[in-house]
Amino acid sequence: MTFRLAGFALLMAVSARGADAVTVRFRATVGDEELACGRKYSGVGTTKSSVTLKDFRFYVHNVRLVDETGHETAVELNQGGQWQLDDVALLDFEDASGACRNGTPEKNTQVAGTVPAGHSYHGLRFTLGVPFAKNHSDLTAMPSPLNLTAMAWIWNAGRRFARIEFTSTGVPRGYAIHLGSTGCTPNQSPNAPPTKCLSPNRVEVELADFDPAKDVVIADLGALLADSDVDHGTGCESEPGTAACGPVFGRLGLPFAGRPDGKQSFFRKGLMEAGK
Amino acid sequence: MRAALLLVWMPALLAAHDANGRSSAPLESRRLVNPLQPSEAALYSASATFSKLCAECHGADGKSRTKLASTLPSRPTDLTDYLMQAMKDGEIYWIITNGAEKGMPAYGKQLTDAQRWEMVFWVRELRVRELYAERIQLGTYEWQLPPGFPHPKVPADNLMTAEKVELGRLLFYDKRLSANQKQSCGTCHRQDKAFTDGRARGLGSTGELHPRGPMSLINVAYNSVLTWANPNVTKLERQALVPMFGEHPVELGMAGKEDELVVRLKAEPRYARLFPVAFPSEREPVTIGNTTKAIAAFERTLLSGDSPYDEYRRGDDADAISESAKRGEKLFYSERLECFHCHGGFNFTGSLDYLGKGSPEVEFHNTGLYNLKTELTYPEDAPGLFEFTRQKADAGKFKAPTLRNIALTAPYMHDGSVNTLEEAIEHYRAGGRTIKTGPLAGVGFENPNKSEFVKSFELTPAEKTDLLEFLKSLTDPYVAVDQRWADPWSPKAVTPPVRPRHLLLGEVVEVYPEAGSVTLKHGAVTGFLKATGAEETREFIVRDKKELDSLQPGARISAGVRRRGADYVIENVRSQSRR
Repeated sequence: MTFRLAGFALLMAVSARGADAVTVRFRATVGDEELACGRKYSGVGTTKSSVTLKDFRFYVHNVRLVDETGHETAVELNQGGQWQLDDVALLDFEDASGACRNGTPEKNTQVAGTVPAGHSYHGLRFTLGVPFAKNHSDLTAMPSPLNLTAMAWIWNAGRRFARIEFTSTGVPRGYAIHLGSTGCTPNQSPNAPPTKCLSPNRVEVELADFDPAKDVVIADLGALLADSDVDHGTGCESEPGTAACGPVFGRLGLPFAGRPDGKQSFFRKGLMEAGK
Repeated sequence: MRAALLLVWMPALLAAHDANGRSSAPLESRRLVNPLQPSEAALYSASATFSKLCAECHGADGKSRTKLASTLPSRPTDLTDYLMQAMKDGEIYWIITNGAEKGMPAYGKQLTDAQRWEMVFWVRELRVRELYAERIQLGTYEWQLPPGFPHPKVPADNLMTAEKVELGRLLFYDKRLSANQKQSCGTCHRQDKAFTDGRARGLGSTGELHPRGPMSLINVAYNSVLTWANPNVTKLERQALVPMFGEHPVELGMAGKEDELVVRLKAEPRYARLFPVAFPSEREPVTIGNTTKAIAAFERTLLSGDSPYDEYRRGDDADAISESAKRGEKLFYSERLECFHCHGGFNFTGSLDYLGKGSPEVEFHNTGLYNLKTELTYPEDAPGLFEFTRQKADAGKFKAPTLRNIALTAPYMHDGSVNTLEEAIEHYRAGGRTIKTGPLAGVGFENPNKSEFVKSFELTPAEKTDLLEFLKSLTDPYVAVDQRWADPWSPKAVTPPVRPRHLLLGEVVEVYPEAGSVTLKHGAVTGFLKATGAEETREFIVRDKKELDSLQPGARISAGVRRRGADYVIENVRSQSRR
């Protein structure tokens, strides 16, 4: 009874403010092929390697829609589930099958929330990563999705913003791209989270002319790796000294080794997969 | 001659004790025994004298935060400070009697002998009151602090309890904490090696080689930073997550398997009993967070300060270390060798924190171990503090580990590239290591980031032996065998000697052969037992039958005393001649 009353009150609050439900849907692909565990993809990277997925998860936050006047409006994320906490959401495209055995069986391919009613929205902006204020929190004290040890980056006192892993022709043991803040040093006061990270490595994404009702966000592993040689080395741990991070950071629009930041080309606007 | 002697003593005489707890009173004074029995009357009388003569400088609470104190050329000693515990009754008495040069006046003439000994009780009481105040911040766990050690800091959300410590010990040694169930924390932190593993570099459960070696966990409760060079890891609770869930390198390999771990732990009956009592207010106590909290609580109990050197320093036994080691001590604390700059304080490391310490101290040093021709001058897989600050000046900077039990923790340095203590001394004698050939070639002496304290020094072979003897005297013989720290899952658990942590002096009142116990009138054991006077006595269990049989009412004894549950146990009983 109490629960139903609370739910009713919530509905009232939402409708009183005049909110529309909005769902931003994501797809993960290699080029035009749907990304999934247990499948092999050819022609990846500069060496046209064949890759098999092991993991593909990333956090987004600060999701905004751009209305007809050009103003951006924050999407208020739905709370209470395992995928969203405050303004952070985890997108998860692995299902623990095949080579993805270290993953979780559940997938999440959308960000769900509300925006003020009565507007038409035709643009999407979000940030890849976990916001600073939450990034360095104690994983054992945080609710899902910030409590996942696979997404934790304890050594760097934060989270992995993206965990992208696969095997390739040349690196059958596994090639990993772990995106996160690096160069972090502590606050003066003990036990406080780090005050600064020299490389925050959060990626600003803007997709113009985006209508959540019919468009989807495509995260294209093929595009991310277009300039990378995934048949050598072990991958990129977001360290500025790792050469393999150069092309990946380039695709993410992040600065690297003196090269300034630019436009990301990992995410693009697309349509739902045919037949889905 | 007399002038020269004074010059030697002068720096030490400015305060009652230095930063290492060494007092300005002569060593002989440590062996003076208080002839009085403590009593309420004695305390009352001493406190009145204290208010009259001492409080203006030392403050009524003994903390020496008075107006007058601030104007004095040499600040009066904080009588509630942990370092007071390193002082013996006799030293306090000596300083009350003789004062301190340029500091405290002498009260030998103003106060009678009895009044001065009574004052010793009161000075002790001030520290004991502070200890009780501190304990409220730490939880109900009965710390068995080595004499002269302060309380460690304990996070407010993980107070210490005996149940938590017991749980943490089981978890520490539980191989279910690794994905393939082949390793526990105790695999790389072995008790017989002062909680290191004897390897140059750690080896994870999947066979992955760690770029650095496991650090000793002894006295880890006092560490301000917990790893070789990561300034972000300052809490044991958080540190425990690194080996469990870290992937570069894989250690226990549990990343992504936290749910499986909880399932494994819930299946163990000992955990089903212990998690709820260790975390009583929680409905679902078996969590990753509570696992790390319990492990951290156990790790905070790995305290050691009973090396022969400590016995010597405390004045318990002037012959506890060899003459060679005593010469080595002087070398260690000399400006020629500079060892103590980075390995100073009661835990022999500059990175130190404890309860009541204003700010934790964190130090990282480059010791000239390498000087590669690369930009960072150190091997890429372990560049030290640089990994986090990205400052070139921080390349090759690592924490100075504690030197306690250093003879047990070979090989040395962050990557285990120095095999023996002799080699380590040689490294510092040369002011850096020269590697002539190969990919690591370079003259460490010339490393641009090298600490100013790592310079070359002259050292004769005899002096090298002395220094080595000193370092070996820092090995606490109980560390490797203390039953409280042993693997509780191991079927071959042996019963090694339990340390007699506290020394009790007392007089036998009655012997109870059937009960295996005696009652004693005894003096105070600072931080452990209050003294009992003539009317009030306390019962002590005597474990050794022979010792029990040898005791007669009226006999004055000294014995090691420890707590077992609600009981007190004495052992190593020795009779003292009546004065």
